Amino acid sequence: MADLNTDNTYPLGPIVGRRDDGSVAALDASVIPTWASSDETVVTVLASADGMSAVLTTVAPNQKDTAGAPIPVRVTVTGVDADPGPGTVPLIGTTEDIFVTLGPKSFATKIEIPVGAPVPK
Amino acid sequence: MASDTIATLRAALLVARAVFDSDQEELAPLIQGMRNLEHLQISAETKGDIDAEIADHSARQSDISDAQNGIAALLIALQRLQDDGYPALKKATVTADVLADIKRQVESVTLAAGEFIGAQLAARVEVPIGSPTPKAKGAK
Repeated sequence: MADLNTDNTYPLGPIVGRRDDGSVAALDASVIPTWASSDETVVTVLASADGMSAVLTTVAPNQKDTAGAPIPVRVTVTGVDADPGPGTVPLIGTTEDIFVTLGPKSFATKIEIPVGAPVPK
Repeated sequence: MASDTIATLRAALLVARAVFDSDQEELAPLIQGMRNLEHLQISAETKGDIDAEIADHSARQSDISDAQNGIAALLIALQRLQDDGYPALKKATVTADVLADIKRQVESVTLAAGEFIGAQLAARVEVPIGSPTPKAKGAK
C-alpha cells in the first residue's frame, strides 16, 4: 500500500524482473512496455521513452465505495518481455495499491473573518 | 502407410513405363521411315520438312527415354527401400565392447550436461514507487 498526496509527483520504476526465487532477471530492453492507470481521475502516468520507468502524477483523492472506504488505484505496465532473446514471454507488472490524499498545499493557510453588513441596534 | 506408398507408387510407375515403352516402340519405326524417305529423289524443301519432323520426333523420343530411365531408377530405389525394411530402421548389432564403450560415453556426456542449467527468465515484474517530487508551482 502506498500513501501519496496531491502535492507531489512520484517516479515509477525502473521496473525490475524477478525470478520465482526472488533473484533479478534481465528483461528485453528492445520491447517498450505500456503504462496505464486504473483510474485517471486519481493518478495519471507518463512513460519514459524506453518504457522502463514512468512518472506518476496525483490528481485527486481516491473515489470512495458505498461504505465510504477509498477505492485503491493501481498503475499497470504491460507488454514487458521476460525473454531477453528472440522469443517473447509477456509479463505484466502492477504497483501496490495507491491511496491519494490531499497534500498540505491544499490546506487553508489563513482564516478570513469577514465583517458583514451593519444591523441597527 | 509407407509400405502401401511403395506398392502404390510402383504400380503407377509400371503403368507409366508400359505407356512410354509402347510410345517408344511406335516412334522408332516412324523415325526410321522418315530417314528412309530422305534417300528418295526429293526436293530440298521436302527434305527440310522431313528433317524438322525427324528432329521433333527425336526430341520426343529422347524425353520419353529420360522418363523411362527415371522410372527405372525410381523402381530400383523403391526396391532397395523395401529390401531394407522401410519404413523400419534396423538397429546396428555391435560387440559387447563397442556397446559398453558407447554407454560409457553417454554416461559421461550426461554427467557433463548435468553441470549446466538453463537461465531462468523473470516470472514477475516489480514496479517500485520512488520518492516524491513536489509538483511545479501552478501545477495541479
